[in-house]
This record gives sequence, C-alpha cells and structure tokens, in this order.
Amino acid sequence: MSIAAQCPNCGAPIEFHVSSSVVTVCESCDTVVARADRSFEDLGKTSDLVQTQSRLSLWLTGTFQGVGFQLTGRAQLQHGAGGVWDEWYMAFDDGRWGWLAEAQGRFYLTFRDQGTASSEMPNAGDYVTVGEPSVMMTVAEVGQSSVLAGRGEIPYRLDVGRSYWYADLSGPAGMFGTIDYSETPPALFLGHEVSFASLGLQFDGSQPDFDPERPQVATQAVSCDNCGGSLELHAPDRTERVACPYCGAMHDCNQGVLRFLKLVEGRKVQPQLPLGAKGTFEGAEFTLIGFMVRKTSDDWDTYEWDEYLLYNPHLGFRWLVYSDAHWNFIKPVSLGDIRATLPDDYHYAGEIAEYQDRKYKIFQSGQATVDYVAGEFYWRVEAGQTTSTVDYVNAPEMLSGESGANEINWSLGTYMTRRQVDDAFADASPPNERPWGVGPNQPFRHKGVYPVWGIMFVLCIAMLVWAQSKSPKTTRHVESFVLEQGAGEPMDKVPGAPPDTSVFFSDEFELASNQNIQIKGFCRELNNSWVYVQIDLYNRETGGVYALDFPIEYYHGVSGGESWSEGSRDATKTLSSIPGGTYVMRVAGQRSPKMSKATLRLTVIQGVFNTSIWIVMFFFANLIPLIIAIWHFIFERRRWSKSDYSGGDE
Amino acid sequence: MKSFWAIAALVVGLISVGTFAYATSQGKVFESPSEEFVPKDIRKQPNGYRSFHFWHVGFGGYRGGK
Repeated sequence: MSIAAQCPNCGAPIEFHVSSSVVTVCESCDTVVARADRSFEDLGKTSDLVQTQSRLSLWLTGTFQGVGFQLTGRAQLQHGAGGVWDEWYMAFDDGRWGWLAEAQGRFYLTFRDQGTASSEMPNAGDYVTVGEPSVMMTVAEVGQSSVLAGRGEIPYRLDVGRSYWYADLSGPAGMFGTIDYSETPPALFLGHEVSFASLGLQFDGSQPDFDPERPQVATQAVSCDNCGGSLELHAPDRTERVACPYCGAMHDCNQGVLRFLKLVEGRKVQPQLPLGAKGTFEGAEFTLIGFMVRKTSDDWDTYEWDEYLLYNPHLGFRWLVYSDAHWNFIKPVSLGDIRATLPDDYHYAGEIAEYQDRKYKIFQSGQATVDYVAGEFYWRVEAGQTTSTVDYVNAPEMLSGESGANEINWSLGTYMTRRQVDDAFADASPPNERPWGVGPNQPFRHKGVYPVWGIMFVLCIAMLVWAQSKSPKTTRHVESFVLEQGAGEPMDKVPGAPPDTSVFFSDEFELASNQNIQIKGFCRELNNSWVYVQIDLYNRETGGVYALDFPIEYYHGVSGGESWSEGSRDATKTLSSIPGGTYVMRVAGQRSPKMSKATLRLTVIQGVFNTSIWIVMFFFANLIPLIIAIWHFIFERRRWSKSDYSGGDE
Repeated sequence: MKSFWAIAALVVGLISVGTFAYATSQGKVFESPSEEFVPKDIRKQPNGYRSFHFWHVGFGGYRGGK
C-alpha cells in the first residue's frame, strides 16, 4: 500500500510506493526523506547521479526465478581506490528486497541474510564460512566505500557522503556476498552473480529515450592538459586514470574531466595495436582503450610484456596480453570458483589450481611492475605499481592471480594465434612476428592424432588376431629324400650339376590358392656341415614352375671352455601363394663333401602366419602418430623450460 | 591444418592395415617364387616334365661350409 506525503524540505508531494521502503528521494529537490513512525525526516540532499552506461533505470519491472520485482531505488557508491558502481534495489512481489550491484558490466544480486558475520574484518584471500546452511567463501576484497548519490525508494537509511567498510566474498558457482561493517553486528548479504538476461526486465517503452542496447554514455573528446593532444575517452564514467599517449602526462579522471597529475619521464613505447581500435571477441565488440607494459625481474634478467585493455559498455573490461609474440585473451573470473594458493611472502604458491573442474599446473610466480602506461584505465594506475602474480596453465588456458594490498583478482587467459587476433580487429593488424619459443599456455595443435593412434593400435591388434585365425597352417606334404651317391635321378640328365648332388621328384600333392607356402627342410645328420636345397614346384595342370632354394647349416664346438653353436638342423622358407592345383616337387639336394649321406625331410605347409608383414604394417600404421608424439614431447619440454617450476608436464 | 596430421595418420594407417589385410587374404608375403612354364608340347608327353632339360642347370655355385 503506497503512502503519500510531502517533502519536509520543499513541500513537494512524495510517495512511498513500497510499504517497506525506508527512504525516498524527492524528485523536486533531491532531498533524501526517511520515514519514521509518524513523521518524515530530512536526511539532506543527494548529489546528482554520475552518468554511467547502465542499461537499468528506475521503475523497470522484471521477473527473477519466477517472482516479479520492480527497481524502486538506486544508489551510487564510490570505491576507496576510485571508481563508481551502482546499487539497485529490487522490491519483489513476495515482500523481499534484493540488492543488485552493477559493476564493470557484471551484476550481483544479493539478499540480506538472517545470519551475521564476525565483526573481525578479514583479509583478502581469507576463507570465511557464512550463511545458513553454511558455505565457505573467499574474501575477494576488503575496502571502504562512500555513498555518492541516491534516487527512488531505498530499503535502508541512506546517508549520502557516509563511508563504511565492506568485504566482498566470492563462492563457488557464482556465489557472491558482502559483509557490511556499517552495522553492529555486521550485516551479511548473500546471493549470486546473475546475467542481465536472467533479470527478465521488461522495457515497455515508457522510457522513450532509453535503449537498453545503446550505451548511455558516449565517447568523450578531451585534451591533454600538458601537450593539448586530442584524447578520446571511451568509458568516461569508469575511467580513473588517463595517460596521454603523446607526451606521457598522467591525468586523474573524474567523469570525463581530466586533472593533470604528473609528467612521466622515461621511454615511450609504441603499442602494437593502436588505441581506439575495435575488435570482436566472443561475439562482442570491444574498444582498445588502454595499453601498458609490465615487467618482472629475477637475479639474471628482466622480462617484459604488453597488456591491452579492452572495453565493452555492457560486458566491461577484458585484456589482450602480448608476450614473446604470443597472444592471450584475458577475462576476469569469479574468485569463488578458484581453488588455489596464492604466493606467500616467500613466493611459494600451491602447485595446482582448480577452476570449473579443470586443473592447472603452476608455471610461474613473482612480482609484476607497471613500466609504461598509455590510454584509459579504470583504476588509479601508475608506473611502478607492483602486484604479486601467479600463473597456472592448462593449455590453451592460463589462470592468473594477482594480489594487492586488499584485493585479489583472478583471470582466465585463452591462447590466441596472431591470425585470430588479426581477424578480430577490422581496422588494425598485430605485428607479423614469429612467436618466440613455446608460450606458457600455447596448445599443441596436433593432439587430434592421438585418437587416430588409438584406433590404429586397436586395428593392428585386430589384424593380428584376424590374420592368425586365417592361418590354418595346413601340412600339405611330407617326404624324405636320401642324398647320397647314386640316389635319385640319373645325373647325366642334369649337366653342370655340382658334385654330391642328388635330384628327386616327389609324390604328387595338392596346394590351395591364396595361401602362402612354407617349406621346411630338416636333416638330422648335420654336424658341422651343410645341405643346400633347390626346389621347383611344378603345377601339373598349368605347367607353371615355381622355384626356391635355401641352405641348411649347423655348426657347433667348444671354444675357450665354452660351447657354441651356429645355425640349425632345420630351415624354412616362406613364399607368397601360387595358383592352386596338383603339384610335384623337384628337389635338388647338394650335401657337404664331408657327408657321404644326408637324409633330407621336406615338409610343405600352407597358411602360415607371417610375423614380418604384420610388423611392417604395425610400423607404418603407427609411424605418424609416433613422430607426432615425439614432437609433442619436445614441445612440452620447450614450454616448461621457461617455467620457474620446470620439471612438470601436462 | 589443424587436423592435417590426424588425417594423414588415418590415411597412412588405413592404407597399411588395408594392404596387410589384402596380403593376408591373398597369401602374399615379401618373397615370391620365380615363375616359369614348361612348354605345352613337353607337358603333353607322359612324365615329360621329368626329363625336361629346362630344369635349372648349374646351381650358381653354392659353397657351404665353415
């Protein structure tokens, strides 16, 4: 039930539309009016709202998780380190009040929790257990803010200009919380980060000049206070520092108004991508508004990299990092979704970090110092600023943590190739430099071969099983021949035959087609001697003659008290299949002159599994994957050779 | 280019496996015997192949022994 009243300052009519509202702001004189039991209290005037690029406005209605609400109030608060954010107050149909914080394009919806928090202020990075049922959250930031301005109806006593301490909490799955130390005991607000779409806002055209898709704050042209150079502010409502790219002058920025701070001496760096360039990342257009060079040093070397600040009015800020000609697209992630240990005073950090069920291995940690800045920044940046950093990698991603005095930030970097960066920018091109070495999170782009390797390996084993099943090893014929003087065919029919040679024709036998042939020869009398066999397989039907030959040698003895042997009393020869049919084997056997007689037994076998062919197949089928695997191993070695924690692998 | 090596590995692998499968089904191994034919007029004679001087004359001088 709404309550109508008169402003205690100007007498203009005011109205409390929501029965549980505590204050309302008079639209005529900007006085904050608090509602007491039977009267209305003048809490003083509120300042004008800072024009931001918010897509929200008062009295918008929406539906969140099935419950209708209306945006009845708005407050603007200033961060202790600069920067402004909006807090909107949602009056739900079920009587609840929701606090909707809007900062850098992200929305955090919280509700007052019945529980309280400890009055002892934590430090950034601490774990706290809050809420009912209790949940462990990480302290993302501890800071002080002050109330700048307000509008509409607000469910608490709004004291413009008052400062209070707060601690922002981050939990898993987008959980968010705030501990407000302006009360005793401190008030606890818990909720989640929400998307703009999930608010189900209804833009009914009652705000004719309002376009939820169009930024509310236009780009602003200003001049450098030092050199007069023309500067363009793309986020004048969020920019806190501007470094003139022409003369290096550092300015403080407050709602687009520059105030000269100092002239930064030293080198000038030309960014690889120009300020003001527009690029498309993850389906959204970003403007390149800031550039800085950071460095880290150890006992031996100083290492530098470039960072480009990107801005989208609705999505907020992102980064492009350029290091050793490797590119990374960086976006902030919720601290509550990270499980990691940041470097302590001794720069020791946990070996593994976890984010969204992925594990990342520590790559490096240290201190990063700002060496050069140009363009716009949303915090009070200046050369010489140092933060503790730690990087964890799981290619193509890199999880990076930065901690300052009272704040911890985590970001997720995704590797980009030069071509991808070039494609993202329509009006700028990154330098055509070949990346140096392997980037920390550079992906190895040929892993697609491993599933193929698995398939090939399985196929090779399957072929082994199949080939053995197709190898019946059938004995087609066995016959013995005695090689001695006068045995076999008359030798005058074989002119030119060596001495000690005997020629025989075997009995007929059958051979099948499409089966290999193995002929095994055995001579039991072999003893430091040899037999040489020449065989012609004669096909009675076709007249075809298929020749093969092989020796059978066996030697043994004792040398230096140790026995030795060489060769064997049997030998085999395997040949490809020949046409099936009835065959006769012509056997010409030559024996060593030391032997007066040699009994040669020949066995003809078909369908023998040939191992060497399978080995050759296995080699070629797995050759390319093996080469890729070796390449991959070398690639990883090169990656981790640059790590402070080398010795790990993916 | 991203899947070039995967495709190359798949192609080479399938060719290898396919060649092996063909060779096995046809009874092929690395070594094939030389092939000649006894002339028809000799074959027509009963046991003509036995006396045919076509048979390998001279053994190429195998010299075994140690």
